[in-house]
Amino acid sequence: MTFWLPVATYAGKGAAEERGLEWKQLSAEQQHILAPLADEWPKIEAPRRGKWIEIAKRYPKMTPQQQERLQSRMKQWASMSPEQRTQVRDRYKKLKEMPPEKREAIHRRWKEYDALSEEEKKSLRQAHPPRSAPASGKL
Amino acid sequence: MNERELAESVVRKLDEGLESVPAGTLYRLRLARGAALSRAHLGASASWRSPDAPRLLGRRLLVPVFGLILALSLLIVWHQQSTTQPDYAELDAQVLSDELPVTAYLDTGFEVWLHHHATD
Repeated sequence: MTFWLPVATYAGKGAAEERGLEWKQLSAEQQHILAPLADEWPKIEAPRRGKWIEIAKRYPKMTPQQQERLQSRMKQWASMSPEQRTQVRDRYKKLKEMPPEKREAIHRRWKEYDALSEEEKKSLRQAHPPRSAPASGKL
Repeated sequence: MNERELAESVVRKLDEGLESVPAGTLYRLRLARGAALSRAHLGASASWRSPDAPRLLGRRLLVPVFGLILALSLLIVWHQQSTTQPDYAELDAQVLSDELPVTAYLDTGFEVWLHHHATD
């Protein structure tokens, strides 16, 4: 019956979308941009594959530095849990809402922290997490 | 002869003729009148229950059913578009290309470090 055509079409498309685009179905440019994810691609579910393809569309508009950062973090991002990704997104949004000087201060603190030895970092991680850090310094 | 007189004359002639109509013809006329009246009554009191009713009812249902199917189709199209999560793609692209690495947001050591230096 023609009335059920949209539903039937959706059901058929849904089955195809459940699998998502296979790696070999991506264009050469998409494969180049998403190269760090090549091994993980079969394990990535369809909606997230779609999202990565969307990200790849934005790649050409980025600066070379941003492109490098994006590619170097892809694999790690893909291996994170959905909860971790949500946490990062939420904290990123909070950071973006901060005044530029506070954002700069946090970036500076990160460079300082990153320069610490692994022992020092480990010691800080083992410390009790702050219960209520001041808004200016908390991500 | 005016109009009223003419009508009375016609009625009188008809009444005279009625007496000479055969009994069989009167019976058939009575049956035909009864049948005509019952058809007229049925049409006036129960028009939507006429033999055409199911077809009419089907036509009346067609519009809401079609509307429902249209709404369902639009919902499906919206759902398909929303599953690509373009907003997440934009946000994730920003997060991943930002100066601050993603590990910074999850590193509890960095959180403590920030806390220690919050008053500086």
